[in-house]
Amino acid sequence: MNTISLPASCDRAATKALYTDICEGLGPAPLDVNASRVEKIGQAMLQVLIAANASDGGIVITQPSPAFCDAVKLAGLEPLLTESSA
Amino acid sequence: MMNDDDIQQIFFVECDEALEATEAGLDACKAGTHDDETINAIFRGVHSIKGGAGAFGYEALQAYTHCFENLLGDVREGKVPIETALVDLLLLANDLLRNHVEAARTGGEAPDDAELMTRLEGARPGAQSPAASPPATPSPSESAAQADEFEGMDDLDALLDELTEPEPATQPDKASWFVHIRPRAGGMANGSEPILWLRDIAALGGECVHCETSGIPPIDQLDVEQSYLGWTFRLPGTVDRGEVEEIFDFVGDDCALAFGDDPMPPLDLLTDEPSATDPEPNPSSEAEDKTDDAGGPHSAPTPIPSSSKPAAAKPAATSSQAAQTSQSVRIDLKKLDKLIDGVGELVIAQAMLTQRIENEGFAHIEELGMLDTLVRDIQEHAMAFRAQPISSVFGRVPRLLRELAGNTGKHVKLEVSGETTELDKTVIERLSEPMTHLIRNAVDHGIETPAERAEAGKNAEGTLTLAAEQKAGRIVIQISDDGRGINREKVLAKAIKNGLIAEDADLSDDEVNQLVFAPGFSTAAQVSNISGRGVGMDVVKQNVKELGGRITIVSTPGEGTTFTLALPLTLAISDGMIVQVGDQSLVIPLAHVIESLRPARDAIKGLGTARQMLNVRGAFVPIVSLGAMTGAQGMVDEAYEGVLVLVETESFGRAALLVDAITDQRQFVIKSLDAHYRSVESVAGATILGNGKVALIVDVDYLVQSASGAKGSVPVLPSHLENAAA
Repeated sequence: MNTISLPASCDRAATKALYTDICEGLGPAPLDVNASRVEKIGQAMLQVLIAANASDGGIVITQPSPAFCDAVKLAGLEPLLTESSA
Repeated sequence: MMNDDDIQQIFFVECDEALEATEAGLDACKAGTHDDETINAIFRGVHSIKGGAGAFGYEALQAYTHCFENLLGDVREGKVPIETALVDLLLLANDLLRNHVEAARTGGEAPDDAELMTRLEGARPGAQSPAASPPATPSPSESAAQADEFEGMDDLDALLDELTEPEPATQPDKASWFVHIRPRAGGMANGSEPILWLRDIAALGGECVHCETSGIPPIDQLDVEQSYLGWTFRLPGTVDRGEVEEIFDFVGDDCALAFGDDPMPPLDLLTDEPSATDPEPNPSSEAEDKTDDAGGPHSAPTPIPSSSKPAAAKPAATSSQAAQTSQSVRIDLKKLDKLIDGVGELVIAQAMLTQRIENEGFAHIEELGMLDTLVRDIQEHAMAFRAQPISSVFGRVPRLLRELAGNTGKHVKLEVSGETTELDKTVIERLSEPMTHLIRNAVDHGIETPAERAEAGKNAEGTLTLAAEQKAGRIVIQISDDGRGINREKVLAKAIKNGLIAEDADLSDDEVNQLVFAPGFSTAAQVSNISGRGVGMDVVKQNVKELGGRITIVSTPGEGTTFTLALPLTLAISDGMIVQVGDQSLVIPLAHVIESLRPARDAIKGLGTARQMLNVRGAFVPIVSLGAMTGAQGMVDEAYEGVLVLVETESFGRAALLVDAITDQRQFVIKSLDAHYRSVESVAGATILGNGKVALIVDVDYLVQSASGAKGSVPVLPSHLENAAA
């Protein structure tokens, strides 16, 4: 399984930088997205993760940090956590 | 395009507006005239400052407003009763908030707020009942540390709210309502971040019930710069729509909002790429998707009225969106001034055109009248843009009185009338300083100490009255106190001592009063730290004069003093009567003119050797020859040969100005003589006539006032002597 690690600050600039890596990491198997370091996350990264999760193999969020969980919950995107890790 | 500085400027303007609203609300609380909306307005004011402070990184301000807001929240929810002690505390808090804002604006050091924050926190019900409240607000330093996250994204506001919040989300709230949020691409640019807005909404007790994800294209077609998401939040009934809208005050077009039954605003992508937008644009199908997408915990039924489901959307997204558009526009003052200047030039050009056409013998063509009406309409509308209620000046007085009470021990009751009177923004801005000084002076020198007042049989609490009204085309502002009045003997002695007048000078009461405006009358020995802050009464008079105004005093020993400021409504364009006086064209501001007449020979009576009075329907008014006053050559010799323009003055009653002829009556653009030449007494300014010539605008009050001392003219009788003369 491919793995990608999210940085502490997942703002739009970080999203731009990671976008290609995420696209390339997607495949028939879920992409492992490690969110343990995330301290802040913005809309740009969230929508990339949603799109990635909708791809064939989808993604699995692993070790989500409290800040990540908090932002995901705030944005009403808990399914991203539950579904992706399922 | 606006930069950060521009946006910050707007923030500070809005801070001022919010502070005025909170101050007015707290004053209403103090007076016992408040209602629920008053409390809501105070809360909103503080809350909006907090929001902006967070966005711009003013951490101390944000921490303080958070603490302030907590207590206001308790007041709003009825947990803390509105009592005098509480209102006094809130007023103090508001004063400190003003200092905080000023510090943020000027980049100065934030005021010491520790003690007041403790008092604010102590006034909350949680202070007595530990069970009622979670841990107290973090200190500013803690808050600042917490706020130091990327570009304010996880802003302090949200963090603080999370610490103190959590509202019981499960509590069945019969009046829950929805807001739909659709950020646009700009919402993710320039350091803004939609997730922050969501945090602010959550801080109000909002809960996300749906995230609209159907607009997200496949990952390989996704543009990171675009905004594809939308959210629906449920808010408790205790939150009003204005509070949510305030969160988006600084967002502008970067986010579309919809409320209640309205559908989620449609996806609005930056480019027209159809591939990225293909899931659009049927709002109803989109809304139906929502319930499926939401899935899991969000799809669970809630006690929300079914009518509020987004699925009930009608295809009226654009109109509902338009309905959310603000009804006001904020305009840079410089742009407004350019418009006013342009209108001024238009008025001049119209006058020239009219003159030219009249010279060609087409004076009465219909189009000229239409043009005149249109230009007048444009001018009036343009001037209305700059008109502001004087309440923005009056509104600062309660704080001033509180400060003065703290310093002098004199508690002064404020009575205000006519605060909705409007006048030009420039006048308002420049009025603040002289008014502040007059009020300081009234409290410091006019109003007696409580002991002295008791001895004089007066109420221990002094009264300061501020009144404004529009009168004869001018704004008349009165500042009255019920103090001891001007001690004329003392003033006279001081003036003699300072060499302002001769020892044997014989001055009337009014002339003695006027001495307080003399330069050099105020000295360091005389002024206290209250009224002597570098602005003497002479500067007050100068300030008022520069505004084209006049200041007069009426003072009764033992009863009090009234300062009356008569100011022009506007500094730009006015109506005037153009008169011919010998070889000169002059403009008499129409605001002074009562009527004009060609007198019969027997209506003019001599008074003494060189004085003439006009009999106007039984009342005698003095005749003032404009030619003699202005030095014009070749004017009529006898009053009955010319035209008399009956004018009303502020302080000297009526007078009849003698002119050769009235040539026109029209709008004129006031050009400052100070700016283009130098200040000339008896001249209020200059204007350009239709024939391109410059005409002086007569300072009617000054002319009539000084007529008594002018050679070849008639002394002017005060109005109360007119009937006696008759």
